[in-house]
Amino acid sequence: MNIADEYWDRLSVLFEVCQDAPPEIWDSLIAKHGEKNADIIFEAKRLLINKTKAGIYFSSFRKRIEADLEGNEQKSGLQKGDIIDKFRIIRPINHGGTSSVYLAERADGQFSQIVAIKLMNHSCRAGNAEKILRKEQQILAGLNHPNIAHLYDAGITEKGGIYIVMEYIEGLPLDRYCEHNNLRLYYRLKLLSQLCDAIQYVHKNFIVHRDIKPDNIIVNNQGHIKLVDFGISAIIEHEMHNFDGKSSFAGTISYSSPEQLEGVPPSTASDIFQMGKVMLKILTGSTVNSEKTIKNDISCLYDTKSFNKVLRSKFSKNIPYMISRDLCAVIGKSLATDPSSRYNSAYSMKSDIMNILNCFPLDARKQTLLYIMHKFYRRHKTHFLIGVSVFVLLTGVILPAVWYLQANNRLDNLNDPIIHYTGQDKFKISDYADKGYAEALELNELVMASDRSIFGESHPYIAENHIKIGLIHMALENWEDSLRHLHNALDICLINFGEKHISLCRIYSLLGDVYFKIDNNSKSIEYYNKAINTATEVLGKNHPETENYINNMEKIKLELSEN
Amino acid sequence: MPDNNTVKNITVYLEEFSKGNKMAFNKLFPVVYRELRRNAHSLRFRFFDMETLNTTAIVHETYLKLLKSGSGNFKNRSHFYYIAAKAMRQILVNASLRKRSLRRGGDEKPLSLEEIKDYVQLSDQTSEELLLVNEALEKLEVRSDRQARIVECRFFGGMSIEETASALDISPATVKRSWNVAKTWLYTELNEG
Repeated sequence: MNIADEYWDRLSVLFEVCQDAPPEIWDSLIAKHGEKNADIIFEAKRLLINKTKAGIYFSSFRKRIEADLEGNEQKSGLQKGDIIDKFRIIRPINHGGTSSVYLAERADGQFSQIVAIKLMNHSCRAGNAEKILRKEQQILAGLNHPNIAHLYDAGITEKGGIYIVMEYIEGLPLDRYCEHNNLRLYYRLKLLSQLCDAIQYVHKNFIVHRDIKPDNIIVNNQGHIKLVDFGISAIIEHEMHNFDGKSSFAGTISYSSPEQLEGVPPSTASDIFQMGKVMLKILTGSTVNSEKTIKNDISCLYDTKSFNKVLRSKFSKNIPYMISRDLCAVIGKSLATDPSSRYNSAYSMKSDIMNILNCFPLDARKQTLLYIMHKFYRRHKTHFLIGVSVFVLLTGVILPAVWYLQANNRLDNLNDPIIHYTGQDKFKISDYADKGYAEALELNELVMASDRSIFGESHPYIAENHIKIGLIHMALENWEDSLRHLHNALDICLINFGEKHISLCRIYSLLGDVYFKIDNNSKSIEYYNKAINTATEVLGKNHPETENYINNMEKIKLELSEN
Repeated sequence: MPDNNTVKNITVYLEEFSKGNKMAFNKLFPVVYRELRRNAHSLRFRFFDMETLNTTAIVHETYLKLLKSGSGNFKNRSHFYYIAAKAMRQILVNASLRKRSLRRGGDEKPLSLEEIKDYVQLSDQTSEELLLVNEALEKLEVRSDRQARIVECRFFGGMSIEETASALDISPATVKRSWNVAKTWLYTELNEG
């Protein structure tokens, strides 16, 4: 032990001896204790005078710092440290009208786990509420889907409060996520199609969600939607209100279907209706006045023209009229007053949304020949003229080419032929893994050869082919081959789109990945920087994709500094 | 979220640090500092309108995040907390310095978006007081490194007596006694020094 520590130890022992005693008897206590060092005795006495004030000062100062950080304080039903079942409350997340949500951690020390606990504000008075809760909980706990927050447990606290333990999702509610990131139409529709997937899964398990609204759809940090707060809370509300003798309605009024409002038990059709509402909200930004819209269908709300106007002012002046009309049709079909006129499944709603993204004809619209032709034209606008002329001469060649296009699910409707690779690389690679890389490589090289013969050497499609092949080589760890293909893709994109185009970001970032793998750190950082700069210029600094690149860069730098 | 590699490294460094390897601290501090700062801001900028937040909760959340399901090793955790306490001190002092320089009109250039995101909001009074406490703590540090560390753990990290004892490898009784004296010493320094 060093001298300083010894000094402080002796000082603090002496301090402790006297701290609870009045000053008059300090001397006698010190004498009894046996400390002889005059410096220590002097210092102890000097400090002892301030002991109480110091204690009060530091605990109040800490509270003031925390209050500063908290911004605003509020009261809640549960406090930090409270235990619910196996979990300890860390802090409140959200207080709503009917419930509060808390962040909590596992307290039994089995393993560490963060969860969200939702506590209903009403206490449970009726005995069979618990039975219902248990039954529902069993069903819901069985759900397992990437777009659904897992439900771990539910129960009733000692005070009679009903709680639900769920997977904790860090992110934003769907509507706020879209607005916050200023998401383009394309991405919004993509998110909606994920929602359809989740609901389809739920329905397949014979469960009705009952309360689909943006607040219950969280987009996590990876950009995936997670359905939270399952119908279970609506069920509980329902039971509560019944016991209270109030209306039997459960759910959120502005997102409820006409039949729900009339007290008809909720069905999958009412979920479809609610999805239509969510879609309307996500695309137009407005929660349309419930009472009026519920009785009428969308045609009274928006005619296609004004809907198109809203979309154009919200997204881009270039949104084609056809797309607005199709979107209007999808929303209209899901909001039909008569449940049997709505989509018969979330899957069929999704396929119409995908049809819009892919420029295929919709189920929701009448299939006139002109409409179908128009769709075909939009799908393959850039090649339509070539197609028609070649068709006359070489029917046998162009048809397989079109099949290839469809097979590869190419989307050239929203101006960016390559953008659809964004964020998908991982899936693509794992898709290939199932089939075998060699086979995938062979197939893609074949596709490229045929594309080359049709579109020429420097068409964006060829760049797309190069990226695909480059990705497969990455998966195979053939770094040189993947570099070659990625650089080819880069050159083609530069020729076609110039230096400010979204497709470049992805390629830059992939190049950065490969150079990092082969330990060429300076090149790697150079390309990551290019990805960030281009994304910042094209998409803006706060776009999730840009942030993604920035985060990636941070990670790499961290890794480099650690080695 | 840190990837698995980072989690693994953190666990390894924590082990090293627990064994007294000072270099491990230098590796860990920047990671913890960054994550803590990120958490401090993400908690403040999260979407829910109301929320409570305190330094202890942030530190704990940071620990759970950085180590994911990491080791339940109490020793490791308290060492992590100690590093976090030091980082928390740094964050609060930096925020106070920035506040002071803004108030005095020193550096008028507007904050970039990044900086605003990282900005920990403190009131004028709190930030001035924090700087004074920090100065006093620096004086204490010169006299006794151990005393200063105890203040960091208890005051900045919000650690319990047991956690502090485990992190600094001293007995809980010593921590309790020393903390009493250290805070009184600081208070006396602030008022008389």
